[in-house]
Amino acid sequence: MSRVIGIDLGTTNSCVAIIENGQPSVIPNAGGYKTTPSMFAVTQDGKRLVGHLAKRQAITNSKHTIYAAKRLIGRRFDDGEVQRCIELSPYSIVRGQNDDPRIEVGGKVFTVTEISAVILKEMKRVAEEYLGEPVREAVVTVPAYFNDAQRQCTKDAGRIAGLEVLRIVNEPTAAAMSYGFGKNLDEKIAVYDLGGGTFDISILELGDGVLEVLATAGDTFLGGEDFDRRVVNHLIESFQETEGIDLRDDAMALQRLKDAAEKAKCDLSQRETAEINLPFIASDSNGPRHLSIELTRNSLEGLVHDVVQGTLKTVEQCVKDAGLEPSAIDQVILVGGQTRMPLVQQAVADYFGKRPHKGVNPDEVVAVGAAIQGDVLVNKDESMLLLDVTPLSLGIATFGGHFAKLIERNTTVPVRKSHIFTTTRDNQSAVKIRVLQGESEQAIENDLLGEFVLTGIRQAPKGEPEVEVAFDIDANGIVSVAARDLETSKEQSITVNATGTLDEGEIQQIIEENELYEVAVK
Amino acid sequence: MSELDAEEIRRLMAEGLDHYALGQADAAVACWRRVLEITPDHEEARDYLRAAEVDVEPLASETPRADEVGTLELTTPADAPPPAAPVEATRPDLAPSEGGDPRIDDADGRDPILAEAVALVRRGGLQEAIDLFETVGADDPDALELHAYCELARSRLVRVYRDRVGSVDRVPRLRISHDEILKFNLPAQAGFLLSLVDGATPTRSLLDLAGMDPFEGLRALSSLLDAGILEVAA
Repeated sequence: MSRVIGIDLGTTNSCVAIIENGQPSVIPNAGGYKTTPSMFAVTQDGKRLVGHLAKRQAITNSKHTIYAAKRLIGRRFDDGEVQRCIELSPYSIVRGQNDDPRIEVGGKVFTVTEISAVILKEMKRVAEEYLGEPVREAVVTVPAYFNDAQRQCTKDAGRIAGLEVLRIVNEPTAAAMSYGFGKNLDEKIAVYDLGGGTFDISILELGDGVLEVLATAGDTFLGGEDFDRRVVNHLIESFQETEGIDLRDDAMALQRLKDAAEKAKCDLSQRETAEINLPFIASDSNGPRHLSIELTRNSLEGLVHDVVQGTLKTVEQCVKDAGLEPSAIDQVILVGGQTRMPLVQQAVADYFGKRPHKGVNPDEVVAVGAAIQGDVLVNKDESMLLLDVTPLSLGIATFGGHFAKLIERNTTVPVRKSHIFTTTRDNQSAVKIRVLQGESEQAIENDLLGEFVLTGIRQAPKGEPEVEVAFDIDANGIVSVAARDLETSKEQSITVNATGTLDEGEIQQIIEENELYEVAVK
Repeated sequence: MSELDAEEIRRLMAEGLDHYALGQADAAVACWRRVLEITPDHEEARDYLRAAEVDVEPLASETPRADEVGTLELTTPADAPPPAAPVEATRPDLAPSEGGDPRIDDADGRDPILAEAVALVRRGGLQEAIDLFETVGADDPDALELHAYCELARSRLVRVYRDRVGSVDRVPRLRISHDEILKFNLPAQAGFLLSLVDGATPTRSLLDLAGMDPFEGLRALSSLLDAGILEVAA
């Protein structure tokens, strides 16, 4: 029987897990690490680096090291989020032919899907090395707020990586599954997810085997990296005070500072003090200069206190959006490596008035949940599945710029619903249907998934012809639309391609290019 | 050697350098090989061919070269080697080179800086020759011969460093304690390279991570090995 792996494709770090002998097992990479940085780089001489190697030169080779591609996947170039990435990223983000953002490094332009595929391929390789056999199927997780285009692109990335993605699962759902929250519970769960690059808070309601997302909120530009940055700035300022040298413009020094800051931050989750020693960090006419600073847990907490408090404001709003009080939350789950920090754990516990669950490592919990889902799918025990829901309403644009919902958010998937539409002008022989996803009553404020034109409608006074449009969301949360002229019984076959996704030809081309590259490397 | 031969050799040597400067290594090698056909013991042509990574048959009279490796400025309390005398950027009053090669002494046939650099290389001072080029020749992009010879010296030095470092699949690791390392006088570049050594990453990956010019990376690594700060696991 083929093995199914569960992959947490994270913004900053990814993780892969599998069920072995009925128990979830997180798979370490060759270096012994259970998470792998979601980074891809091209060196000056054209070598490709992935994971830990890419991270270790991310600052010295910043223009050609890609990180946080997840912030861009499935989006359009003009999206506000993409524009913010362009401002903040040292690598070049350009407009692609599908109006999607693409990344140019090492003299080549990559689609975001391709970059995600590189990371997934690395996780596939890690699993295959560990298991000693090929792996072809996976369950991959995505944030609960990901729309159709983002989910489709993630699936495409899996395909390019040589994986059949059996299911796309929401991250908070996977986290809940890893704690064994199953069919027989009726609870409200808060999932506080503070990862390397993003913060997400989800309030879920579990009942009758359905996990409903009541509300989600977060900040896609807030995570552990911000904590590291605060420590780095502190080290730079201390060094400048004692040695009179500013390390800010020294890429090699910054790389060392970043690595040391992150290590010290992690150490301080276990200890009260951490020594940071960076010999020969700089030199001047008087010779070499060494950085040697002791950082205490108190100092670190002082540096990041406002960041942690900021997350609680977002939590507060999310709980309110869910129509609840903090005391109504039955369970709190921590996700993301940054939640190991005692300050974060205490802040969350104080807010909800209860200690969060700590049985599963927070940076592994999503991958474990994905592996559990995968195992259930392979064993075809659908009764054990927690059903997901679509996080966003689905509908079409109607006359006057309005949005007509056909499928409400939080509807259990898979689901199929249809509606009858008609013409708005006399003798109208074609209708343009714009498929949208979102919550606004104004069509223009929602995300466009795709649009198509249905032709061949009988010429008649407006309001007479009947066109049945059916919307279908599969278990992965991916949307397809079909239309039928009820009078003629003619069926129009239409495919909704989410804007920004790759077409089949592009996917095949990328697969072939990557295979060629693999052969060349061998 | 006839006057005609001497003139032909001068022409071939210069033409070879021009080819090399333009990236036409095969054409450069062909010129220098032609020189050896005329005069098999032509030291400079042999130097150029070795630097271009071409095997040259050893002469019976060839003596071992002095240490060609430029070292980092290392000072330890016990045994600091005396620093090499710095090479001056301009030396108009050149002394005759070892071996009395008439081409070096020919004031009409050779730029004095290039002549000094050639002499340095032949004495084993590859790094000093490179330093001289970079100090004097960096501002003159038209001095093709100078730049070409600098590249030749670098190529040769890279080979020396590669031999010193060994297989790039081997893993360097620290040989001494953190406190002992602090007694050395290392530049920040070497400090950065040292920070990448974790006892698990092979040399090949370290050089990728360092992001330095391969010559600089190998030089720094070689110096750290020479100083006993690093060792390479088998």
